[in-house]
Amino acid sequence: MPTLAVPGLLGFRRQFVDSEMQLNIPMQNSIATLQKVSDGLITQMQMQMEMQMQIQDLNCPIIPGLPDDVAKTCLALVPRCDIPVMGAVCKTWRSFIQSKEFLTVRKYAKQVEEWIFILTEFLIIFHFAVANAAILKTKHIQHAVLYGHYC
Amino acid sequence: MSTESKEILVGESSQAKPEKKTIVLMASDGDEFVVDVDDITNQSEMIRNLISDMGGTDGLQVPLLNVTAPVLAKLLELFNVSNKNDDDEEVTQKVKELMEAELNMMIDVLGAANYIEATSFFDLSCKVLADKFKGMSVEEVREFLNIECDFTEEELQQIHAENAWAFD
Repeated sequence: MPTLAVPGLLGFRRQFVDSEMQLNIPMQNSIATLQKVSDGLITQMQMQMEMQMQIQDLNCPIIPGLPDDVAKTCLALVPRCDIPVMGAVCKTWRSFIQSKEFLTVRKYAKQVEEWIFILTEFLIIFHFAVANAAILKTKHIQHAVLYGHYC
Repeated sequence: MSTESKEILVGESSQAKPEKKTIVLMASDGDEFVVDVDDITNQSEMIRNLISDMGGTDGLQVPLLNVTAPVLAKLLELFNVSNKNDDDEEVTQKVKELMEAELNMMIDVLGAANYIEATSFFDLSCKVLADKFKGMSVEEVREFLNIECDFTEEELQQIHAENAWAFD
């Protein structure tokens, strides 16, 4: 009775193939995602390298006598309000402060502040640092605007 | 520089308590500093790792090739203050004084602290230096750190126009 055995075997096979195919789809997806992520990482690394090259091109230490990574940590600790002043000191400082690396170092040094920018009808932008969400209460906003800087 | 051995007594006197373990730190110019193991490992991650890698402190000499003797002496002095006080206030004060008196020395000390991975002292000193910039004008920062302005007049005007509020 070979004819009976064949459909059974085929059926089994088909099932096996199906389950394999089902497995294949997410695997391919995850490989594609991995590739995307790694491509992204490579571009990010290339951008960082380029930025570092730009800084090195300026050929001048950020703070004379100090390794650049140390100087970067120091600059990252400067409060937000004083950053524009730091950006006008020299080209090396400016290119570092405008780079993505500056944000990364600031994040690492836990110096990232949350800011709220409010556009008023007179086109004056008030900005201020918020410690937590509680400041969003109306009375706190009035208080913060009173003491906020404007630009 | 002379090669004679100097004893820097960090914390308690090592003669009074001979059971205390000590190691020798060697500055780049050959000067030797005898320091208490507990006091230095309390501060320096690099030396803590080195001791655990070497499996002991017997006759351990640590050459610090990037650190000169005066800088190392100053750094150990500041570690001493830091070890004696639980709060950071006195250390902050000392670092501030050093920055006002000898900026170059303070910058070298900061570099040395980074080199031996004295994390908490390093973070504190960085904060002191960053706080110094607070409220300074561009010219003051340049003068303070002896940095030359390499912007052209036009570029400077543009930068000022972008953030006029910051330069008032």
